[in-house]
Amino acid sequence: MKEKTTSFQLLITLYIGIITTGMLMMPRQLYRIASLNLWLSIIIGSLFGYFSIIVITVFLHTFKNKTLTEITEETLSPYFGRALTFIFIILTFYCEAYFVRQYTNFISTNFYPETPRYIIIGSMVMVCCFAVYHGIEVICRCALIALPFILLFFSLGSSLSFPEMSFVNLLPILDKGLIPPLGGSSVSLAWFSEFILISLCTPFIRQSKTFLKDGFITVTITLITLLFFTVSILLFLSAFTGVPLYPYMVSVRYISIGRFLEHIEALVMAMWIVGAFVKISFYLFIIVHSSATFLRLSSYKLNALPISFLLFLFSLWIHPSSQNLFKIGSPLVNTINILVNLCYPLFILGFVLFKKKNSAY
Amino acid sequence: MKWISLIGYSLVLYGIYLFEKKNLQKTHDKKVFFMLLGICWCVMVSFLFFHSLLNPARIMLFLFKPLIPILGK
Repeated sequence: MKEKTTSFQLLITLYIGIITTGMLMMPRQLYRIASLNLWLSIIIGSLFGYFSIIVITVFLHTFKNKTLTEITEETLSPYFGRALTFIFIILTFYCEAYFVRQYTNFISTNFYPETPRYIIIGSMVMVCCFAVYHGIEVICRCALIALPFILLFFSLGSSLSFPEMSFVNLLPILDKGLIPPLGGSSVSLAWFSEFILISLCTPFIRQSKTFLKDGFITVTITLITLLFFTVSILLFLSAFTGVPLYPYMVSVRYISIGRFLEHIEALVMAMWIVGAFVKISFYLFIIVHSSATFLRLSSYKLNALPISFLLFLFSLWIHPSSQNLFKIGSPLVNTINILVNLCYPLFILGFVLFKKKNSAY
Repeated sequence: MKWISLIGYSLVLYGIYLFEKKNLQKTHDKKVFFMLLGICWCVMVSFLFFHSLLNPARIMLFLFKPLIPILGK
């Protein structure tokens, strides 16, 4: 395999994907479950991020340069393994279509209400397909270039509303006990469990020796970033956090400094599009690569265009309204995410360990 | 409108075939590629003519409904 990337670059790609969608979608969902203790839900959810890194490290040491789908086919029987891989691809594809739809919804409700949805979806899918066609290295380098700008503009959006923040909004802590934050962690773990997707890119990792350390550092940075943005929204909006569809956009729209620094949301949108591009292209790459392995194709590039076309159709098709997207789509995709990114690798890991233990005797 | 869309999307699929034509050297690759194009065409027809009946979101919701109260909040 010619194209190679470092584990750090892959982790940064996932980091951008998680924080851009997380900071926009997570606060509302978390506030509705954990209310003022949403920060605790993020901390609990991050534990699964660390766990994902440990699982990938075990896979990396046991099966060198093999993806999770290949491991599945190797450890389980060929038919059962292939069936499981097929289900995994279908479910990940659905999640991907949901992300594209979410992106379209955000753009069309906030900025381009008159633009037809197929234009917004089509342009994004075309760019992502182009990136996937050129390989994982291109996606990772795009993420690395975008990282400083994303962090700069997003933190600018949060820090400029600092004078309006009130730390009293964080109180009372744990007023309803531990149950609401624990319930909220099912939302945040759906984001943190995305780290497991690296196990589908293991053949592209140049050096896997420092993976555990890099992984732990990235999960910690993701946790800190998400905490910073979510808590700043809570400090600013307080009980209003659970009302708007995109609380972060509301908090940024309020910024007005000296009547000349206004409409920062345009910058936020620009950076969000870059973040969404990184996330969608990474997911698309995983789907294209996994399906090429599943179908025994000589090159994954052959199915990049047909799968992108399918993605375009699916994202136009699913969840026709915003209400449907938030009320039905969001819990559905959280469930699928937990099943695909947490239960499935856990099942395979358990099976691998069981097989290893049996063969030792 | 639906028929015009059908023709338009079919042309896109034909464009995809023309784009990848030179890379389809092996017989297996050719078979899989045409199978994928066939799936794309079927999905396209379902999308255009059975929009609400075969909606993937509906199917997924039907499949995962019992798990949503437990896993997806």
